[in-house]
Amino acid sequence: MFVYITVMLLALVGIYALLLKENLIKKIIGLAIFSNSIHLFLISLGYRKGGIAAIMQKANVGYFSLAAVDPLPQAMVLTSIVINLSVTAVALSLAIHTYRKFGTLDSKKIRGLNG
Amino acid sequence: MDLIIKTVSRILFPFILLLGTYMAFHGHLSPGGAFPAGVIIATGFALLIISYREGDVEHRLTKDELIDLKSVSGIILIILILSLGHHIRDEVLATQNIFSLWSGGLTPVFNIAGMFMVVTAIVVILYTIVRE
Amino acid sequence: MNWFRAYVIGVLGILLFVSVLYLPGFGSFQNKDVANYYLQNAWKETGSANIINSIVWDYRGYDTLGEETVLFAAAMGVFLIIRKKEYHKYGLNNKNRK
Repeated sequence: MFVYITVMLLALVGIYALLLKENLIKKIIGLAIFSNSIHLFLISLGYRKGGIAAIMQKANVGYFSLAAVDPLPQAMVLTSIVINLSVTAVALSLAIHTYRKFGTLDSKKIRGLNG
Repeated sequence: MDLIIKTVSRILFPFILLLGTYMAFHGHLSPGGAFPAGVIIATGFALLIISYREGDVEHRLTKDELIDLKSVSGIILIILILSLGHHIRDEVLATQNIFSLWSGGLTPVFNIAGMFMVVTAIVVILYTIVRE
Repeated sequence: MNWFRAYVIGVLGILLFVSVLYLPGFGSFQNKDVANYYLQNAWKETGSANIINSIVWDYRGYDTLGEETVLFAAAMGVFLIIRKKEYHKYGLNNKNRK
């Protein structure tokens, strides 16, 4: 239960930085924190009490399917991490492009400028 | 950069490459796989790019070689994944036994090709962001 | 401080903390049919000892192929967005522009 509350707090921190910060780099940091909180939430949904990792070895063949954690969220999160990396890379390059074009990273000033 | 950082990163780079290659080759038996291996090798290149100038790094792996590697490994991945449901996979599985290095169907090949794709993507991103 | 966005964050926070009450308990392994299928049968069907690797590359290979396409598109997007030469030729800050 405390894990879920921690994850929700982390998501709130991410949404706060995403909506209320005015610097574009801080907005991107908030996006990264928010997606990482979602990854943590999915991983914690698949946990089993006293579980072992979902990798079969010669020592644990006998009790493997009764003790291992859920492997499906881990695989999905592995996919999601890479997509998060590419989204962050494109967002950072767009921030660089914005700084070159307007000379600032403040989103309120960017809204005032036109062109 | 500093002389100590240059020397240490030059010494450390082959070992990072070795660790990443091990994680790709052994990924179907132990923790690891294509993405951690690719990210580890890309951090090795990032270490070189930070400590040296970017033009000094490019003689190890230029951008044209990166894009060639990316397209070749992508074509391998597409051909192998599209032929997964057919008879190739069963024939490969018949020659293998579990817990050995050649096991897991075609997943070792997938791991190595995916490692190349991740390395090329991240190093292309690093080169372009550092060069600006 | 934009107050509308602050209200949105407050409402969203309340909804998130209410939704914690309806989740399954942490560590309880209930209604996991797919997980049980993978844990029991994946090593027989794919021959791989790492179940996560077999899911990523074998059961859901098309998903991973599309994800690699996304990675390639991101690399090419960064490569195309950050171009300083063309930017100086056509950009706003160019002094030689008409």
